[in-house]
Amino acid sequence: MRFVVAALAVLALAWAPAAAASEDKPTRWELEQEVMCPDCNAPLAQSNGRMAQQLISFIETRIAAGDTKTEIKDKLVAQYGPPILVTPSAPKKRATLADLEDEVMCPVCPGETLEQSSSPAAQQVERFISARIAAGDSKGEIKDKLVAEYGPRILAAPPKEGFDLLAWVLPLVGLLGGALVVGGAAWHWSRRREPAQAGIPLDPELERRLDRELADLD
Amino acid sequence: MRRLKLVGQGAAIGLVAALLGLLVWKVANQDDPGGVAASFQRGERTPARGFTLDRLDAPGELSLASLRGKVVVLNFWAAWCEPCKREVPLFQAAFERYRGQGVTFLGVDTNDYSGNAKRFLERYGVTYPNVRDRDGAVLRRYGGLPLPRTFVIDRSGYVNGYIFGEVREDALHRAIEEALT
Repeated sequence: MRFVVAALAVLALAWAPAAAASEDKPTRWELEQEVMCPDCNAPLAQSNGRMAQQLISFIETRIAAGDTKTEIKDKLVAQYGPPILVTPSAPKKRATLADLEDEVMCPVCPGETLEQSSSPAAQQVERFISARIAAGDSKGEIKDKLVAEYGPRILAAPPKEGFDLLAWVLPLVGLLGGALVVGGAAWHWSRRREPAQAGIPLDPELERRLDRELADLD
Repeated sequence: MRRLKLVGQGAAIGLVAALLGLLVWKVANQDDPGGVAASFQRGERTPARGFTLDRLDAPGELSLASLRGKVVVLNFWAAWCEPCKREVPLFQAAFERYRGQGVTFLGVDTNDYSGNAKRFLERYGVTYPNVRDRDGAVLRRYGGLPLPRTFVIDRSGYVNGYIFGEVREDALHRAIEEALT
């Protein structure tokens, strides 16, 4: 544990000066990655247009004037608005064949997923999925393409729309209904039992005997 | 309390009735098991069940009804189906032989990846029309899996011949000749 903490501390110390240097003394290359070319919808690093050239020359001037990265960015935003900055997009989750094999049905084997089938049709679907993974598609994109190719029955789980929505809603309704029935029955049962217990009159003879025995004990 | 009990009982009966209704609806709407193939094999005069599907080999759709008046050789296949690969040259040859005699061929690619299916047609030089039954709905009405299945439909739209599995040349020609007479 100590070793892990020490390693993290060393890493943080190594990274901090570099980050500070990047902020105080930015390079043109860094900013080309982080600033968009407004008329070509791509970072400056990937643009050759006139507008991109103008912006790069503006950045070079500001670096030479000693502006920090934040100052340069603020000036760009003031001039062109926030879309001038590249917004880091969430990294796309990479799909795997193993992820999809139990969520995709074999198209010709009733009730069997790809994982459970070794039929030629299932192998064809697996090859299709592998090709889409290699092309960089996400899991959702691959599923959409499978539905377009084979229809919605290719997915192991029913779609959450139309008539198939019932498959998702009915179990919840059943659970909720069951909970209500059990809760109602418990409430009803407790209401009936409590007054009955409190209201049972003791036989006067028994009460007198109980008093006597308690007095004897004292 | 009694009212609450009655409401609960009513809801439970309603739920059971709804589930029963769903079951009846599902059974009533189920495909005829065995479909066209089973009906024909029972010796019944069986009309070819109509469909309209997207073309695989060209843009647009094609309906079986648009081929009425011709003898139609209807072949269900897929690119992953090994016997389909062996029989497709026979269909192409028969298509070229009978095309001037009022006979047409229609391939129905089913449960298949369209990219592979198109490559299949190119590889075997298929020139007769082909359509795409992407989820096998039409195949189920004609008897379902396994593949291949071939139906010969006469000019009035009734099934006149049926070949289950890979066709042989003589059986195919005989079925076409019978439908032409």
